[in-house]
Amino acid sequence: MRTYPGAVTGGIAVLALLAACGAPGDPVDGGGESAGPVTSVDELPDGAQIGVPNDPANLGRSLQLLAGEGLITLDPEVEGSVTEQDIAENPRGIQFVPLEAAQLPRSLQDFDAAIVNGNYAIEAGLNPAEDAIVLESGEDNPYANGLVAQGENADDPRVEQLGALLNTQEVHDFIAETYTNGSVVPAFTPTGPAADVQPLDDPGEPLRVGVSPVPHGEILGYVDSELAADAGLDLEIIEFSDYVQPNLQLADGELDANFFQHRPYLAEFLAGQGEGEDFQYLTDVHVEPLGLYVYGG
Amino acid sequence: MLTELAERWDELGPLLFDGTYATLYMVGWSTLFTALFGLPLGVLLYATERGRLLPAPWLRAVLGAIVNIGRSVPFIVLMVAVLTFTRFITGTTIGPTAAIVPLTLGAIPFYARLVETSLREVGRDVIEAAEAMGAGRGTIVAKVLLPEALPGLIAGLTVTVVALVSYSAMAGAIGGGGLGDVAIRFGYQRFDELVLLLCVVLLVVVVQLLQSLGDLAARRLSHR
Repeated sequence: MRTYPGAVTGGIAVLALLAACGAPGDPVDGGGESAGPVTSVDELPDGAQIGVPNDPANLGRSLQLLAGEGLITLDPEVEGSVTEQDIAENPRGIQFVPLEAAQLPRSLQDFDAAIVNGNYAIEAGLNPAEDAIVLESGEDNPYANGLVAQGENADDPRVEQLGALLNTQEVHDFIAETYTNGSVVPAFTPTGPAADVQPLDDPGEPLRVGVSPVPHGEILGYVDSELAADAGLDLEIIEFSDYVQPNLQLADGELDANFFQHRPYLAEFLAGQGEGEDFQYLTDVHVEPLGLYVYGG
Repeated sequence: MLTELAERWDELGPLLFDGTYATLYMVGWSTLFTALFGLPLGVLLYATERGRLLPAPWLRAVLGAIVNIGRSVPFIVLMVAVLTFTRFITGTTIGPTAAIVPLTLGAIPFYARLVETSLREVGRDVIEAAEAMGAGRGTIVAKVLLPEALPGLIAGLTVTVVALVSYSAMAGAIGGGGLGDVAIRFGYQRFDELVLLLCVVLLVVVVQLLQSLGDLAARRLSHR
C-alpha cells in the first residue's frame, strides 16, 4: 500500500493558485443601481455592462448605433466594422461583452442592457417596436441584407429568377406577416405578384444558395416551397452557422449565390480579399433592425 | 511577419495576453472541479460493476446512462442548455467564470470514463491481497485502487485538460473569451492571418506544456 505523493496535491495547488489570480475580463458589476426601469441610454448606470453580438457583421454595427447615441466615440481612422478595440472615448466606462448573437436575449437579465437583432428579439418574446430603448431605423437602413452572386453567375437566369422572386409582393407580405413588430423589415418595393414572374423554360441544375438560418433561410424556404416551382426554379438551400464560409464557398464556386449579408459586410470582405473576387450584390431583401434592450424593459 | 508583429504589438499584445490568461483561467478551474467530481463518479462506475467492490447493476446502469448523455450532447448546446444552472452557481450566464460551469459539466463524464478504464487495469490479485488483510471497501479504494491506478488517472486527467483547452475555444459564445475566441473573432472572421497564427501557436504551446507536465507526473508516479 502506498500513500499519495506530494506531487499530486502540489499540482492541484498550482492549478488552484493560477485560477485564484482572479477572473480575466469577467464582467464586474461596476454600476450603481438605477432607480426604476431604464427607458433610455442616459439612464444606464456608469460602468454599465452591455452585451453585443460577437460576429463582425453586427458588432461594428452595434457600436456604431451606440456611438450614434453619444455613449462612446469610435476611432475615426478605422475603416469597415469596428470592434471593441476601436473605441476612442468611453467617458462612462461602459463595458462591452461580445456574445454569440443568439445568446444575447437569453442572457439579457445578466446585463444592464444588450444589443439584440430583430429576428432574435422576436423569438425571445421581445417586441422591438415597444421594448427597445434604442432601435435602428427600418427605412433607408444601410444594413439591408440581400442576394449576392459571383460575377459570371450574376447573369445566370436562375440567379436572376431568384432575385425577381425575392422582390415580389408575396415575399414582402411573408416578411411583414412572419416578423411582426418591426423585428425584420422588408427593404424593397414589391415589383408585383409572383405570378407575373416569367417562368424559366429549363430549370437546369438546382441553384445552390448559402444562407444564415434565420431569417434568411426561412425567407428562402418560403420562396422554395411556395413560389419556386411555378417560376421554374429549383433551389438547394444550404444553411451556414458561420459568417465567413458562405462567401468563401461562393468564391470557390461551391455555391451559386448567397443570402446572409449586408452591403457593408460584403464591401469589407471584398476589401480584405485584395484584388480578389468579383462579387455582385444583386438585390435588397430585408433589414433586421438592431435594438438595445434591457431586462424586463 | 515578425516586423508586422512588432508594429502591431501594442494592439495584439494585450489581446493575446488576455486571451491566454482567460484560457488558462477557464481550463484551470474546470480541471480542478472535473477531477473533484469526475474521480468519485469514475470510482462508482467501476465499483458498482458486477463482481467488483460494490455490485449494484441498476445504479451502474443509471450512472452509465447519465455519463453517456453528458458525453453525447454537443458542447455548444450543453452550454446553452445549462444556463439556468450556471446562473444558480455563479450568479451570471456570461463571462469566463460562467463558462467554467458548462466546461466542468462537459468534462466530468469524459474524465469519469477514463477513471473507470484506469481502475480496471489494477490487478485483481492486489485487491484480493488487501481483502485478505482485512481491508474494508473504503480502505481498498483509498489505499490500493487509487494509488495503484495513479499514473493512469494522471494520464487521463492530462487528456481531459487538453480536451478542455479545445472546448474552451467555444466559450466565446457566452462571452468567456480565451485564445479560441480571439482566433475565431479576430483571426478567422476578420481574415487577420497573423492573429490566427499567433493564437494557434500559443494554443499549441499551452497544450504542449500541459501534456509534458502530465507525462512527467505520470512517469514519476509509475516508478515504484
